[in-house]
Amino acid sequence: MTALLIRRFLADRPWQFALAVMLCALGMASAIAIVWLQSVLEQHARRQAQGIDIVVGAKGSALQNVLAAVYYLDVPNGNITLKEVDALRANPQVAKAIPIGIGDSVGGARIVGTTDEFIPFYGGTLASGTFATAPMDAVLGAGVARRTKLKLGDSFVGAHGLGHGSESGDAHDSYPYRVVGILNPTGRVIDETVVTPVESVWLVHEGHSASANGDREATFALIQAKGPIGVATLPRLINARPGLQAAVPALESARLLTSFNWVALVVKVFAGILVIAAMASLLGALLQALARREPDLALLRAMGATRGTLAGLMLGESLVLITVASVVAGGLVALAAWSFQTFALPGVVIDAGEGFLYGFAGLGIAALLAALATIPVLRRCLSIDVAAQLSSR
Amino acid sequence: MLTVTGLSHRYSATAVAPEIRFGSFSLDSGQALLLRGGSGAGKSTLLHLLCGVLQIQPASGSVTLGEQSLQTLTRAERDGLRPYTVGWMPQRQFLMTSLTVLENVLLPASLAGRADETTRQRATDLLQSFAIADLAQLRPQTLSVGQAARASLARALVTQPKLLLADEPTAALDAVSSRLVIEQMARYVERGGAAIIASHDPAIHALWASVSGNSAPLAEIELTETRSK
Repeated sequence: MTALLIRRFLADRPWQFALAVMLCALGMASAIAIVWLQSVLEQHARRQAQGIDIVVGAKGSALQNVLAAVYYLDVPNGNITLKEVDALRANPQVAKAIPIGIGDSVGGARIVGTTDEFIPFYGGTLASGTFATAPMDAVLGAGVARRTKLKLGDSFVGAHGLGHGSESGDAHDSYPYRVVGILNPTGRVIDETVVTPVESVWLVHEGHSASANGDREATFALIQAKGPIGVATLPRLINARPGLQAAVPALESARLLTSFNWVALVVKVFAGILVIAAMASLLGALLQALARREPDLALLRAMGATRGTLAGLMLGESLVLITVASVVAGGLVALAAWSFQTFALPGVVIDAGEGFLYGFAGLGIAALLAALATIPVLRRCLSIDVAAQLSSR
Repeated sequence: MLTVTGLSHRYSATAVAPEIRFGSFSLDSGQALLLRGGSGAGKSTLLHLLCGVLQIQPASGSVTLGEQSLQTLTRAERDGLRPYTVGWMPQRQFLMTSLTVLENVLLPASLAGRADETTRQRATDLLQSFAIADLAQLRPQTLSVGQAARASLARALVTQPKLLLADEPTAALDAVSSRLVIEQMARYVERGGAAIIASHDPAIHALWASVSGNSAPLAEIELTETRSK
């Protein structure tokens, strides 16, 4: 009987029910999505720097060098000579020293001139074609291939400048690249990168830079140390050399994130407010429903329903509402994650398992708050004056 | 079956709240009692006390229903009186708009978890005898006042209670509906039930006599505003 009554109560006012569900679901989904996607972004940022102990670039801002070399979010401070990179590679504390030359882009993706070590260093594997074997061979990251629609054998020219909006830069029409390979997605910056031998960059920029005189240059060197001692000692050694600057991505990222700690706090507070707002809307919906049904509830008491039955009705209605809202919220969060992965940050790795954990935690908190929100409704429900209700309608 | 002795009631425990006095009376199976009195005389209050909705206060007289002394019952025990010991037809026609007419009639049995096939058949028979069987699957908002009153009485009778309490059962009803309602109450009393009807309808006594003859006489108590502070 209780189930029938709950069903009828809800079915009799579908729009009010739908509105209450949507208000609750939007609040819960927003809160879960905000907290979860913040975590996804932090993990995404950490993943980009994975394996890169030190970035060596031209003297200037260390943070700028990290942003330019690791995240491809800024312009470099300048160039370094390849001789310096070779000298670093010879250091016994250095496991890998991978030179990268950047400066051009295609369709918003950076063209990175580098060595054969670069793609395996980022965990890249071929989806089709081959690795580059000659200058002007290009291997496309998965995101670049999807976005630019370039296929194996296609040719394209790079534009001077980095990233989006650089298409208006000078096009290097005389030096077309040829697509020889396409990579599988990795969830790292390489997905949005065109990888080519560093000789391609020198070839394209002959006449653009001083490197044409044979003193070859790269923009950065990505250093992987052999151990923690190397990570600790190499920066001082590198910084002592004229024109070189060592930046440790882990330190620079941590410094950057620390300065934005208040943002994370604001985001969490905002998420909390959203959950409370959702529960307030649930409380409002339940109180409104109770006010409307007081005569019915009084009648049920008159017909023999116990106070426990009435409590069961209100709790049941609250449970149905929060359950449906949770399912809708779960769908909205999944939609937000998909949109984020598809449109906002292609290539970002979203861990569905972690999403479920955040979802369950969020819904657990919501269920707890829903139970709290139901208490005043229950108190009012159980104190209904049956005699007064049935004498006054 | 029902014995009321020196019963009175105050709606508030404060000394200034007026006290309504009901006096003493008794009722046996197969008997019917008409409570008369103007508005505020305490007719509905007396019915609320007898069906357990209101608590009988200590030192406010006594009520014995069958073997039970009502003033010693807990709230849960008083709730347990309805619907199998006491059937209640509240003032006006309270039907739940979320349920069909048949579901409304079955409501007391359903709440008690006793809406078995026999009870369903009884509900259908009652609707038949009240001439509203064809409305069984409709929602109450489509019913006229007279039809709703008949459904309300059917609901009070579906559990075959020992005592039927009806609060203004013919209020706002047309002659046909009034007659049907009173006729069914008389049939119930003739079958051994006991009924207390609170009404200020002057025609109810004559109506009862016309449908029951002498087989179930309707006694009468006049409640006057004997309130004291």
